[in-house]
Amino acid sequence: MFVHLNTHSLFSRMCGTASPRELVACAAARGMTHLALTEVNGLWGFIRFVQFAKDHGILPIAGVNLITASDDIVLLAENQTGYENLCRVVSKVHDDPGQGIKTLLKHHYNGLFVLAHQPRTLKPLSRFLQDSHLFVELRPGVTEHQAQQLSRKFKLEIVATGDVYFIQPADQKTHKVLRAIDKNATLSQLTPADFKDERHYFQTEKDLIRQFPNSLEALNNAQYLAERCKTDWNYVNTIFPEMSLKDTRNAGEQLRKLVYSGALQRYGKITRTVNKRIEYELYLITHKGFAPYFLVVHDIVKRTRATIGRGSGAASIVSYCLFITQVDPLKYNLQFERFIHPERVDMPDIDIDFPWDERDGILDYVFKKYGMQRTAMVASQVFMQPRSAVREVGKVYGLSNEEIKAVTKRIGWSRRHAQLTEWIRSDDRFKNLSLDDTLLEILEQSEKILGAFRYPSVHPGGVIIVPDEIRKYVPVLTAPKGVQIVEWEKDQVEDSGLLKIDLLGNRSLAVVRDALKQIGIYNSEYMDYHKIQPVGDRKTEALMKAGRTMGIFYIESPATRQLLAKAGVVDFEHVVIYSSIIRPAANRFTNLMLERIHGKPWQLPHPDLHFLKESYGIMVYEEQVSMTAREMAGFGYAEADYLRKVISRPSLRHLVPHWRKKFITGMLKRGYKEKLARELWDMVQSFSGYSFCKPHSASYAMLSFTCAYLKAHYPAEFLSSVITNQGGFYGSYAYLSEARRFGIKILLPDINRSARGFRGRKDRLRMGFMAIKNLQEKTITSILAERKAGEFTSLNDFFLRVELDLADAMALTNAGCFATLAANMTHKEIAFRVACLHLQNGHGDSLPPAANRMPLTRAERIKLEIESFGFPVTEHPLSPYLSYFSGRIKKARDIPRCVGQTINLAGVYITRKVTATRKHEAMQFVTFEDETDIYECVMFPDVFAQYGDLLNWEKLFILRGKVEEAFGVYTVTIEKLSSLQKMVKRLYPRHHAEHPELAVGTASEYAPDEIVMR
Amino acid sequence: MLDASLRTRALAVISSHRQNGTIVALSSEAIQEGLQPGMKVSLARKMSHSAILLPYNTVLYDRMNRYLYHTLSAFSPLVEPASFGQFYTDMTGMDNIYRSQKQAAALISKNIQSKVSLISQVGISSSKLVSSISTAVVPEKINEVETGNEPKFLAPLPSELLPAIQEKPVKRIVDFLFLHCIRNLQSVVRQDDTGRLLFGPYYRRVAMETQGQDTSVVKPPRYRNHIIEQKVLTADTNDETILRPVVQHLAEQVAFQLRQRHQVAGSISLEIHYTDGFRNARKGSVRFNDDKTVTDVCQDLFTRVNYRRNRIRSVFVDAGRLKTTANQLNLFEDQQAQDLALAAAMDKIRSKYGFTSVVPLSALRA
Repeated sequence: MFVHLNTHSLFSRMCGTASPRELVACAAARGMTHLALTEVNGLWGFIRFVQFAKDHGILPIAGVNLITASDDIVLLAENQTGYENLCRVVSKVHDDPGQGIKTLLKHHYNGLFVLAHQPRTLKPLSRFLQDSHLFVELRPGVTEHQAQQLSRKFKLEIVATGDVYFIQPADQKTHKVLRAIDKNATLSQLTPADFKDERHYFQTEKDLIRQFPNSLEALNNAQYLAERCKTDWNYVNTIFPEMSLKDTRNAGEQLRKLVYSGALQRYGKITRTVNKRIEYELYLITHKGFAPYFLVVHDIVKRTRATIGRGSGAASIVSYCLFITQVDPLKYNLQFERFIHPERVDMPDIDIDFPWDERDGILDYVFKKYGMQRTAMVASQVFMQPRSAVREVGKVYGLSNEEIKAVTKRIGWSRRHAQLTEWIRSDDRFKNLSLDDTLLEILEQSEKILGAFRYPSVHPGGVIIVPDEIRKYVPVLTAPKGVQIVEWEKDQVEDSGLLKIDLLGNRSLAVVRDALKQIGIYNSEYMDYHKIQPVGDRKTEALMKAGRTMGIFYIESPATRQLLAKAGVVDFEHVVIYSSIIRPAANRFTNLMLERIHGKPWQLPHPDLHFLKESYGIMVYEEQVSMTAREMAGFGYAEADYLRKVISRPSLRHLVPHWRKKFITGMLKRGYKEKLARELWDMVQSFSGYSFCKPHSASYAMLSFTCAYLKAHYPAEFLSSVITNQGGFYGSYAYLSEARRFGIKILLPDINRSARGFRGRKDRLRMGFMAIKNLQEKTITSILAERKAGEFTSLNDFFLRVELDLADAMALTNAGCFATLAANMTHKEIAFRVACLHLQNGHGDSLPPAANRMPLTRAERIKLEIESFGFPVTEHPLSPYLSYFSGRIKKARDIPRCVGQTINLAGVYITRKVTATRKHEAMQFVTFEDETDIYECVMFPDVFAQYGDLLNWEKLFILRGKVEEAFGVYTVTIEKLSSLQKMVKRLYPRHHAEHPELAVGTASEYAPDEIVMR
Repeated sequence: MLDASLRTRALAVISSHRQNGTIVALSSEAIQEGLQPGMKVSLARKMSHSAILLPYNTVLYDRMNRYLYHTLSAFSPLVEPASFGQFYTDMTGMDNIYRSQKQAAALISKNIQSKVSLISQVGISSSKLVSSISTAVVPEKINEVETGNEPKFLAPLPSELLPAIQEKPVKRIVDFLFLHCIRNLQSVVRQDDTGRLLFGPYYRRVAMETQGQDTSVVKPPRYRNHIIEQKVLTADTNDETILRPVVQHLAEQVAFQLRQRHQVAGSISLEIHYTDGFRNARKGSVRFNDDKTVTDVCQDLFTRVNYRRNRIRSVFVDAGRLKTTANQLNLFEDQQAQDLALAAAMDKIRSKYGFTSVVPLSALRA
């Protein structure tokens, strides 16, 4: 029976169209015993392939289709040494794709079978490879005659392969589209050398016999060769630096010392409870040989003060005492067993967040300490998603950016629709889209390339450290950013047994750090991050209870702000619950929990579920899923843990039906009723997509409290840091509006007072140079450097001291940076002087003719601000329009007094979330603001179908809707929506023509939701 | 207006009736209905059921243009076509024939309206620039700007009407200094040093234009140093199997005209207009005027100019710096003699049976 030894999946960058699962299924359906996955220059999806092959009873072979500038060969791993050499060779190709085959293989050919079909390749290889390991490849495109000639010339056997790139011949069009995307070409610009012809599909044995009727032996050889390849892939052991017995003992001792010294700092004195917990944890840690791992993490964490531990590691008192995590597990009842339990054999993950701008320094330290040979970062594999697929295919078919945006803007970031065409045809948000034949073809091809591997990038923080040489476990490459990465993404890394430490960048930690720094400047004493006690602070809790949490880590989205306000209970334990329950699939349970918080009687679904008491009888944390599986369905520790993974990982979604059956059967066997089993499974399923364990949520909630404390007591310093670090859910406009609501005055950038970022001090917030569009980074740097020598005293002084482009001088002028430097001059006079000074290298004192000295009109000022910052700063964007509606619209602050009434409101669009009803109809939650407050609206399906599209193009709106109230929180159910500018134009056409300020800031120029800064 | 019933109706001239054809020009009524130039025909149909979509009729426009040219030629020997439907005429020395310039303008207008039902705008002045601006901004059918009054006439108008303002460095300064009115510009350039400082090499041009000065003369077509051929595609496309034959066809048309004039082009430029409004052009030169030479150069220019994947709406070939051909064959190459002989043979056929009587096979395939 023939088996395929040269197949490419969609992990072969922009070539293959079939997923590894489809290839495996195809091989199984054709009765093949083995299958080799030979991606072009990589093992990008090998771990997934092995898993799928095992599921289908196929023996997986590791291979690579090595394509260099001059050669094209197939390498197959005979044994473990062969696999290691395969990884090394692929890494070498990544290092330098121009190397010849001989150079690549000369020192790494042991344990490898090589298939080649070009005489220029076979000649050098035949000199050092034995004929038992070198074969002539007969593939589509090579004639039988050519293969036999080569066989005779080099005295080698022939092996037939399918050189598979797609499943069906009809998929060749999709392959061509991928090639065109890769080549940045149109379909008609591709040459035959750029793509494979129709013969490169997954051929059956019969098809191949028809194609190669005189080479039956070559076809049989494929089977014989497959049987000689390594197929027993086993990844159970964690790969971590091995240590001698003595070293392990010393590591244990060292850890004990560090933990007790940290405990003294954390607790003041070591009580019996603390001591007992430390001893218990240390016993398990040292007993399992994890002590060196903790020391490595501790060594990394020492580099900075501000960190938080995420994941289950936050349940450990050892981590807490080593300052790896910031939540006291004793105080908040965090179970250590979620992290390390007696049955756990694999290494636990410790994930740590660092301030985003310090993380690169931390990574440099890790690479320096452990060396490039042992260290690499985890990759992020970027695949074609609906938006990118439509964009790329659209370009191949020649659509303009605007035409492409008309589709992609409506798709949304997180959309994962396999049935793209059908969805776009039927969904309301696309109803204004003109679907012509070209667009339909684009959608059809886009749908087919969904999931194709585009390129690897660097994972935000995953680092791998191995005991010896990383290149023998997985191929590595250098990312464009300059760091060494492995080919696999985090899930494959984890499944392959490589030890991963997540060192992630967190913008909110930088926000806290910067806010503390700003407060420290005028308080002349810096607050210590570790000593802030936000929990229990009245002002902090009042702020959270009111839902005024914009800018606060993790609890600032409209949904969470509303949840906080609705619940009205904001102690630490509850905030931990809220952080966990806000997830896409748990809406139903959120409302149920709110009712229970507000006093609705409830009881546990079953007395055995006593561990759900802390969360109102609802499954909120991951460990509650595992505990339910263990207590109710009889799962073991490992099984229960795997169930959690199956539910939360999209890549394991196909296993859900199997585990559902197992869960329900398990419960029935233990005598529970089927209704209860199904009810509990519903709760388990609400964890799909993503979910958290309690220690993780507690860790995050602590940072939320710290941020809330800073916002409550130092709003200007806090919000300026949020904008500077670009660290939030909203754009800079929304945060500046929030600052105004806190009574803070926004000051325009000033050449002598602004820093690079925004700066806050008490009730003032000064915009930074980074807010100015089109201002070059180098100019900011030179202004700041020159200012160290003293403030600028005049325009002449500035232009004499700072060298800059005219465009930058214009940007600074238009942003109002020189206003205080030339206080007695109008903007037009300043602009004239700036232009002349720049052109005369800082000399002269020209003024414009009298006619050009007038102060700016209102329209001119607004236009300049929009051009400079993306939004008006000195007045609210709605103010030019409000006089037209006085008395006919309500303000946001009036909403609570209008419950049950239908009112008109004007608003600036802030953010939105498109979601679906239970009937799968699209609806939307939208946030607007006017000059008095921010308010939440909902658009139900019929209204969304009518007006939803408007939000893609407009920013200023007028709306009509009914005010509703739930748990003391108000929302407006929109009935009608219109562009504010169009409404004014329609109602007052003459006014509109006479008042240019009304035409300023059309949707195309206006960008309040964009973060303008670099 | 050939069909009076279309008057006051929403009209759109489209590149083709296909789904992805686009709107090329619109009547004011169509604009009021929300249609815009460049909009897809399918969307236009959806948006405005009452709009009449007329296909782009190059032959008709060409015929009308020629007719207008001939009409104007009856009033003055010096007529220069500017673009479709726009002409400059030099009326110097016509004082003895017409009582005044205005009378001549009225006669021209009347003549055009009675014969082709088109309403014309006439701007009279001593410079081409002011006349052209006058027809664009003054609502009256005939407007005369008296010599010496040009600066006063221009003063209240927007600066962007001046061609020099379209130059990027000038526009940047004009926007930055809020010189949005020609009056402001006039006051700035009046200060010689400041004007020179701000506008650098463009100063002289800006200063002249703000005063309404334009020294260019009216050039009849025979003195024009350009041959321009263009093609608006029936449907926007990025398919090279369609585009390359179009380029070839345009190149052959240019080569044909060069041969008719016994000239070669010192510069030949190929410009493409994409559907998103982006334009791109590349320049080359041709030393011979046989079809093969011109086509090869144009195809090479097309390869270099079309580096984007966006669909193309129209292609232009502009041959300039025309000079008389030396007609000297290369004695060392037979091929060139053959190419010229073939071109001469084709010209004979084309002169007798029309240009499209001989079409390359690739064009038929496309």
